[in-house]
Amino acid sequence: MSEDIILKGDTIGKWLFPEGPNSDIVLSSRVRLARNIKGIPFLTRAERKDQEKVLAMTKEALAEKGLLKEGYFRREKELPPLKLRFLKERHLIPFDFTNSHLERGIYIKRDETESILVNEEDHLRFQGLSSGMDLFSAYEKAERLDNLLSEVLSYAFSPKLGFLTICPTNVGTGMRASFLIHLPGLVITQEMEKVLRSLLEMGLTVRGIYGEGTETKGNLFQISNQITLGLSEEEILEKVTKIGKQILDYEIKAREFLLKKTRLAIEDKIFRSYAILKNARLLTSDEATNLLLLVRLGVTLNLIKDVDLKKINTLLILTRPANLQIYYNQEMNEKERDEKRAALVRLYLGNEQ
Amino acid sequence: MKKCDLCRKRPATHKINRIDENGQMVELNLCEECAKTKGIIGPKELKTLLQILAELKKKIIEEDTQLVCPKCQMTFANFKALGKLGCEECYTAFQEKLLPIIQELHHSTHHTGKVPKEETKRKDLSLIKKLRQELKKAIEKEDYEKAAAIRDTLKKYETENE
Repeated sequence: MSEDIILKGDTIGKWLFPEGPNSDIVLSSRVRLARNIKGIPFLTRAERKDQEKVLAMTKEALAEKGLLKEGYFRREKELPPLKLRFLKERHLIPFDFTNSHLERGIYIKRDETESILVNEEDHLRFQGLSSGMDLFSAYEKAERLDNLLSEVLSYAFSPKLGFLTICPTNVGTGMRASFLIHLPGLVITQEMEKVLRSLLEMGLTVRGIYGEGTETKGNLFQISNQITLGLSEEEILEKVTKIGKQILDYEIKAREFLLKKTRLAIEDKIFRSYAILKNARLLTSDEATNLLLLVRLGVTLNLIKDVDLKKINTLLILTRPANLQIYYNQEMNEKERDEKRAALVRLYLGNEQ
Repeated sequence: MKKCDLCRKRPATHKINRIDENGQMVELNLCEECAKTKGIIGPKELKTLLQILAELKKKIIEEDTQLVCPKCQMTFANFKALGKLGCEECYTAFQEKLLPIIQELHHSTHHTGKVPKEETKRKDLSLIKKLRQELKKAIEKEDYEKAAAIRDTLKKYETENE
C-alpha cells in the first residue's frame, strides 16, 4: 500500500478518546449538516459535469480556506475498496456509500473529528465528531467547516424553508445530531423496548451503529433527531442532549439494579469475556465486538481495573475487518484475520505470550 | 320479455322501485336508454368503491405527472417515487403539494435556525435600499425628526455591512 493513503491504521480518531462528558456510556456525539450549492441541480438531476463542478468548487474552497493543510481531500475513485471500508468502520463515511455512479469526494481532518462528504446525497455534508455526550462541541466542528466554506460557496437557501436539501426530511437546518450510546443495562433489564417507544414519541430515531438500515450490535445504539425544520440548531441540540441525559440516567440506574440483584452473574459474564479476550487464538469480528463491549461494561462498573477505556475503544475500531488489515498493512482472508485479531487483542490487553 | 314502461318499444332491462306522488310504491320497468335519460343509473353503471378509488388515483397521478419543475424538469410524480427532489426550484414549483408533506414531517413549515451570512447581508441590503427611499421622502416632506431617526438606523446597517 502506498504512503499516500489517508490515515494510518495504528491510531483512532480523537473523538474516540474517552475524554468527553459521560464517555463511559456515550461513546461519541456527531452532528451532520447538509448543504447544496446554489444554481447546481441536486444529485437526482446533476449531470457528470455538475458533479465535477461541485467537486472542483469544494476543493478550491478547501484550499482557499487553508483546510487542505489540516487534512486530506480524496476522490472516492482514488481510494481502493479496502480503504473505503476502513473509513466506513471509522464512521467517517456512511456504510451505504458504495457502488455509486456519482463523482464523489471526501475531506477528512487529520484527527478525524471533522469531515466533509461531497456528492454523497446532498452536494455537501459537513460532519463534526466529539467524544462522549457533547453535541454542542460536535456542532461547533461541523459549523466551523460550514462557515468557512460558505465564505466561498453560495448555498441553496430559502428564507422560509431554510437550507434546501434533496430530501424534504432534512430541509431547514439540514442538521442531524446523534450520539452513540452503550445500553447493556437497559437491554438486560428489558427496559429497552419502553425506552425505544418513548424516543419515537419524542421525535427521535434509533439506528444501528453504522447508520441507516444497519442492525444494532452489542447493545450499541445511535440516537438522533428526526425533525430538522421549525426548531433552531441550538433547540435541536438541547432537545437531543436533554433526552440523551435522561437515557443515561436510566442506564446508570439499570446497571445499579443489576449489580444489586445479580452481581455474581454479571461479574461472571464480564470476567469470562475478559479471559477469552486475553487468551483466544481466533476471534471473529462480531465476537470481538461483543466481548470488548462486555469488558467495557466491566471497566465502567469498576470491576476490571487493569485496562482503560481508551484501550477498549481503540480495539473496538482496530478489530474491524478493514482496520485490522490496514493496521497490519496486509490483505488477509477471514481465517487469517481471525488469527491476527486475536493476536492484536492479546497484545493490547497485555497478555501476549 | 317486458317492454319498457316509458317508451313502450325497447325491452325493459332495469327494474326500479319508486314511490309515487301518493306515497305508493310502484314498480317501473325501463330500458337501458330510458333509464339513462331519466338519470336512473342501472346496476351495470354502478361503480364499485374500488373503481372510484382507482379513478381518483389515476387522476392524482395525472396531476402529479403534469406538475413539472420548470428548471430541472422533475415531475411531482418523480419526487413521490424517489422521495428526492431535483433542484432548489422544485421547492417553489411543487410548493402547493410539498408544503403539506413538510408540515407532516416536521410539524412546521418555517425555518427558525441558521441563516447564511450572505443571506443576512442580502436582507440588510434590501432594507438599506428601503430606508434610503424613506429618508428621501421624509426630507421632501421636511419631517426632519423622522429623517434623523432613519439616518441613525441606516448608519447602523451600513457600518455592519462594510
